[in-house]
Amino acid sequence: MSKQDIEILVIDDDPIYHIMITKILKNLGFHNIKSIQDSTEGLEYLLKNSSLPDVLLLDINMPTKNGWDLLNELSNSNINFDKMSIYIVTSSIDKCDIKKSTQYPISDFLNKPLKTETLEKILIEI
Amino acid sequence: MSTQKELDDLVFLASQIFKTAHCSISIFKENNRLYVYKTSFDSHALLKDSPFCTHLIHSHEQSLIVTNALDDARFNRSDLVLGSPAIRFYAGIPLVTCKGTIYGTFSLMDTQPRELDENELASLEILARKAMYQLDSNQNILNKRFTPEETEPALEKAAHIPYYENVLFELTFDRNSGLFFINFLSSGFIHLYPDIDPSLKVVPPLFILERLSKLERFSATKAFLTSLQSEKEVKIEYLKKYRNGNKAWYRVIFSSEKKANGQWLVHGIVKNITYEKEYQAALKKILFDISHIIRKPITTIIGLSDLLNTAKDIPLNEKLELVNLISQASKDLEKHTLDLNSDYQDKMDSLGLI
Repeated sequence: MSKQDIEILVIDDDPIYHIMITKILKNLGFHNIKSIQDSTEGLEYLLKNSSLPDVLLLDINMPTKNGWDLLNELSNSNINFDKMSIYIVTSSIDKCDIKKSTQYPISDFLNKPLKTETLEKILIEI
Repeated sequence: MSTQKELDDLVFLASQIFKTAHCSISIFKENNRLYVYKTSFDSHALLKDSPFCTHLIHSHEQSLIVTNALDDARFNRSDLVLGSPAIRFYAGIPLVTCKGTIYGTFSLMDTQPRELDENELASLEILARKAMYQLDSNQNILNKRFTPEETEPALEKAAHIPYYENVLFELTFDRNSGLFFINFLSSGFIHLYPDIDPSLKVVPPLFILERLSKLERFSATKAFLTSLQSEKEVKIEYLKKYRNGNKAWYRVIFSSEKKANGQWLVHGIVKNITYEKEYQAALKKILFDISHIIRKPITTIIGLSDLLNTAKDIPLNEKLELVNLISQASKDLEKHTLDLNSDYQDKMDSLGLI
């Protein structure tokens, strides 16, 4: 899949992070980026959109709905999201969060700050 | 009723029963007398250096009775005996917990020689035990290094805090009656079940079970059966809500062993672990705050600086935008640390730690 075709959805409540990640992704040549700051809105986008993004970069600690809740609701819906690569991207270094992540069908648990090389590596594999 | 009033009442009762010139409950820590409830002999120096109390504590005896100090080689050279107030009679019981912690003594003194008969000694023991119950429930306060002036209000406050000594119990099966019984090996249980007569040492399990909520009863029974089957140590923790709105966490640890006669012996402890639980919750909160609240702007600052360093060909206006964002994230970080600081400060205040 060419870089232009890959759709990346970023759900994170921090506006500065959105600016930063968008810049990094664009520098890497990815331009099909959707940024959502409210997690409830993010879930709605995933549930209502006919085609799922190829990559989801999901934060954990968000005010309206945390990342785990979002994943739970997505799992309980009838949407097949097998083809979407889900990456948890969090500032959390809490062992509980890392442990929890093993219960979900995610591709990886990544810690912020996200390095350009890390991002490049995982996106090339898509 | 406050602990101080209870202890004052016990001293008053003792003075009425024994009619001795002096009755006192002396509570001390590391041999420095901390607090004294007394009648007569209004001399603090007398109580501070009493050779009787010192002897009683160091001898590890259950009581000390001196009918005439002049005839007793251990005490007949003491200033208190030879000089003023010329003590002749002394009777004292140490206030010792089941774990061996010595709180102090319950003492009677007189300037006339006298005897203490069996019933009188038994009465003194009962009074000392009652004083022990009071002190037992305030152990946590007494363990802190309070000055006497501070102790009084602290003891009064402690009467409302649900913190109690460990409860040690033993569950035995009585063949003759075909019933189980719970033997309390320590006095702490009276605080767990204030409606139980403190003089009771043995109660049927139903006595306890009917005081538990349905859920507690279920988990207690389940844990008990597990313990019987496995002969392993079983641990249950539960939250108890009191009618006055107080809440306390308890941990019950018990194990069973099969005796030679085929009977089961179950023994364990009940411990108030409210402080432990609060401590755990506080640590979890700090961990969460570091992980989520503090680290978030830090990672943003690092990420943005890296971007500035590594990305090629960024126009100047975009560079300035990134620098602005770094400054914004730094301000966020400062605000969060200040907020958390005041949060923790408030928590410390509410716990009376400052």
